[in-house]
Amino acid sequence: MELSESTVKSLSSLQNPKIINDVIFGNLIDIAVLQLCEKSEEKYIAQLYGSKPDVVKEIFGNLSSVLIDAARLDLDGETLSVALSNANITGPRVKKLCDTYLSNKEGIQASLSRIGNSLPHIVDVNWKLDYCVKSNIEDYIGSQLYTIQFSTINQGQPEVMKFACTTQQLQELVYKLKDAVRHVEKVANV
Amino acid sequence: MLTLKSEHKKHIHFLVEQSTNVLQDFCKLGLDYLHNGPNFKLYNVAAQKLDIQPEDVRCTVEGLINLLLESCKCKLSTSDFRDSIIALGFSEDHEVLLTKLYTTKQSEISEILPTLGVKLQEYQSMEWRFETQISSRSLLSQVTPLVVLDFSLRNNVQQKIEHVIVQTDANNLLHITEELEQALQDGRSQHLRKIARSIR
Amino acid sequence: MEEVDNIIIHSLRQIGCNIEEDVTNLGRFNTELVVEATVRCLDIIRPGLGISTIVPANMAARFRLGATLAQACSELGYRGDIGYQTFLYSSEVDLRRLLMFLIEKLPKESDKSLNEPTSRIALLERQISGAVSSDLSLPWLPHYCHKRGVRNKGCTDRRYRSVDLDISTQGHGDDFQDYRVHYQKPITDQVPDDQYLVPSLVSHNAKLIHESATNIIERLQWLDMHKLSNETVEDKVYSKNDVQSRFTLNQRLQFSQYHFVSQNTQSEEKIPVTQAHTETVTSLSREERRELKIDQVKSECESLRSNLDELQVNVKQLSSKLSQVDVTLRNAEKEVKDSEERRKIKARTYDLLPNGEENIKKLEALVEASANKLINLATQWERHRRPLVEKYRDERAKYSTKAQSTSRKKLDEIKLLREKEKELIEESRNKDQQCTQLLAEIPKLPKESNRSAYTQRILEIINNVRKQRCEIDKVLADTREIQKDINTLTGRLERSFTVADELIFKDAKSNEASRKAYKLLATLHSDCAELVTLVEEIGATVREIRDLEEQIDSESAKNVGANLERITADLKQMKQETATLMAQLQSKNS
Repeated sequence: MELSESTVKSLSSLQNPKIINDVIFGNLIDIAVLQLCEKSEEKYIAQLYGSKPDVVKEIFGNLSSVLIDAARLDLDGETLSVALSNANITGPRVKKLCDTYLSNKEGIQASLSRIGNSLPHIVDVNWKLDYCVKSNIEDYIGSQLYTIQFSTINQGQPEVMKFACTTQQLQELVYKLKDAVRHVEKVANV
Repeated sequence: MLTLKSEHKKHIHFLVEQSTNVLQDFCKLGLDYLHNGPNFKLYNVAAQKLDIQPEDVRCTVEGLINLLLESCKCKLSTSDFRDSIIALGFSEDHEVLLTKLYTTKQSEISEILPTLGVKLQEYQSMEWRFETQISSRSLLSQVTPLVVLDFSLRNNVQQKIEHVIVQTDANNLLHITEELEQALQDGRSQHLRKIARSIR
Repeated sequence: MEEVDNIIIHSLRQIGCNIEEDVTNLGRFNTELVVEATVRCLDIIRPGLGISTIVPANMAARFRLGATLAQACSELGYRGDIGYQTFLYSSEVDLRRLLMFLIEKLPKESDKSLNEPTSRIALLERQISGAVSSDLSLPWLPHYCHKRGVRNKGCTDRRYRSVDLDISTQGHGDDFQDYRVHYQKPITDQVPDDQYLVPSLVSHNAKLIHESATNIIERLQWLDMHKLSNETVEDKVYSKNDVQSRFTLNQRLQFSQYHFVSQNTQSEEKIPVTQAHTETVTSLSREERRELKIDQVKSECESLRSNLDELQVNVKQLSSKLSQVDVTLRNAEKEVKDSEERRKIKARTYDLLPNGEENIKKLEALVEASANKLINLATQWERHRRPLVEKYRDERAKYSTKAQSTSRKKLDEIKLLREKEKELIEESRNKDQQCTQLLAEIPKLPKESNRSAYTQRILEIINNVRKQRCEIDKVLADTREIQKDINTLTGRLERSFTVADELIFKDAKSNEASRKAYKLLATLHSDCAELVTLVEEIGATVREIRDLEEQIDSESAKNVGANLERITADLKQMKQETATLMAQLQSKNS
């Protein structure tokens, strides 16, 4: 893990309890984690300003950025503490930081994994079976017609993909899907 | 039995009076119409030969085609078709020719007819691929198995194939497969067969 | 057989059978032990059979247990004769065969320990299969029931949109400090939406780490900063002085740059805010008005701010003008002084003008004297200066080389120490890993020693077998030799007999005594032959006796008598049980 100069500079002030006391530090780290996991409650950074709003803002920003970078690189707690100690940042505060990171890593990674772009994601399927009787083109049809509707989620928005198919076509589709399922199960049992 | 509109009957009636050879030529024109669409040059030539208006030739050819279409629409059997032709006043020789035309083209036409109706996008084919996302800008090391599905759907209005590409995970793949298999099985159930029989 | 029994008992103890210490051969296994051993073996070979290891007291249940065990064994492929009697009335030989079969069927440890994949691809494949199987094992849930981010991995719901974050550090002048204390927003407020926060932080990190300056002043600063951080402490002092002298020069430039930066951030903040406004305006009219008002106030604020900025710029311009004016003033004063001086000199020359000759001479003398004095002083100075300069040069050279060399040495040392530290950390980590690995292996170890004991025993047995085979071979060779001897001796006997026979027969025609001798010879021969056959018969009988004895032994090993007794006892118990049951039935009926 690489740490930029300004981050190192600002985090090394954490080692000095005179700059930031323990209560404020604990609150800072809690708020940072809550914000990053997007479980924002009614806790705001402005409540912690006290007499040093500049330092609080600076450390809050750098704490968040270190947490995000560590989660992005998928570090474990120990690697994070080694990386920090390589930059000469050590002490009980670092331990607390690493512990908090470790217990919230999954949440932070979950919010990281939701960023980006992906294809619409199928989450459900609905189907309807029609028995066609007559149309303006044909007097007697007498065929079954399936309407398949896939519910997908595209960038957080629900969407729908809809098409019709005959029994044979559905049979073919099911064969192909089963083939895929078989393959996936094979992958699972390597 | 077939019932035709009076206008249509008028167009067909021209053929009743013609000789077998002329009818055969018209049958050829009709085949050409089915395969390549209307061809006015041919109609002009035929009109000159028969010494009539090209417009009449066109009407006759279209009448012939319409006769075939209507017959297919009602799913007439060969004997039903024969009876209908004779009822229209065609001779035995004509009837043989037309029946031959009907039997050769019937299957083709009945295949085309269903595609003309009201329809959603129609399933054509589906390709899938299993892939695993191992890294992204915001998460450098991850293992996210995904199945990408490429649906080829035919849009019946514009007559072209559209590709819809979606993805899903193993869990949902399993679910949709089970669900669609169930749909397929339900479609073959006794209950549905009973309904089909009662409508027939 | 004892060795085999030992091995069987050892294996049974390993799978958790409770065999007492003094049981050393299978002959001492009782029914309970036999059943327990069999059930444990079967449980390991085919888990989930669910047979109890405790032998029930009820006779009928006992028979059923024996029958199920027998069935399970024959299902596993046991070929020999097996039934409930094998367990309930066990004979040693049958039991040994059965237990050997079962222990052979036990899964071996070597099957369990898979070779761990090591390559990156294999590891990735393992991870993928793990992810897929965990995915498949979850029950399906409709998407609106999902906990956020846990399911549907790979389904993103926001694009990567980031804004420039401003997390600045201390130490850039008072104005900047003022901005930081009063105006800078915390990062959560710098983003227009929560969605922007995480991507913005990612971008911010990347920017800080891979930053390279764009305009020339920033680039110079960046270079200075790098020099500062890269050079050692002593060098730092020099370059700091350097920077300080430059600082005064660049102050204005820098200031204007900071100004530019803060303006930038402000304008960036503004953009998303106005976006948000356009969205809300369409939805609510009352809010619209309020927003508009706020907008107005904001724009006023902006204009005021820009006014302020302009004024500040003006002030700066004016102050710079003031300093310029100061400089010109000082120059003018200097000029005035100079001209005053010149005027004094000119006044004196006027005074001296009347008796010029004399004065000129005086002046010349004065000039000469002062010139002489000057030369004198120069030579003197030169004399003093040279050694001093030389000394200075020497000292400087010495000092600089010394300082440089020591500093370089120290630098190298530090570097070496750093490297060593890193290596040591790496090493300790490796050692830790090894330690955990070894710790994990420890529980497996005692079994290993058992195995070696095993192999030793097996080797001993093999040696014994080899020795025995050698002896058997020897005995076989002996018997073969004896047979050969016997054959040659009978041959010789035959031949000598025929010779003697012929000789005596020839004589017998003429001699009466010879005839008698011939008769005697014939009887002797036949008698001897009879004797030989008798001896052979005795041998055969002895062999038969031995066979029979062996058969008796094997039969007695099946301890039929005891088993018969137990069977009769069990029969009696069963009869009793049936009788009591009948009695119960009757009492119920009546």
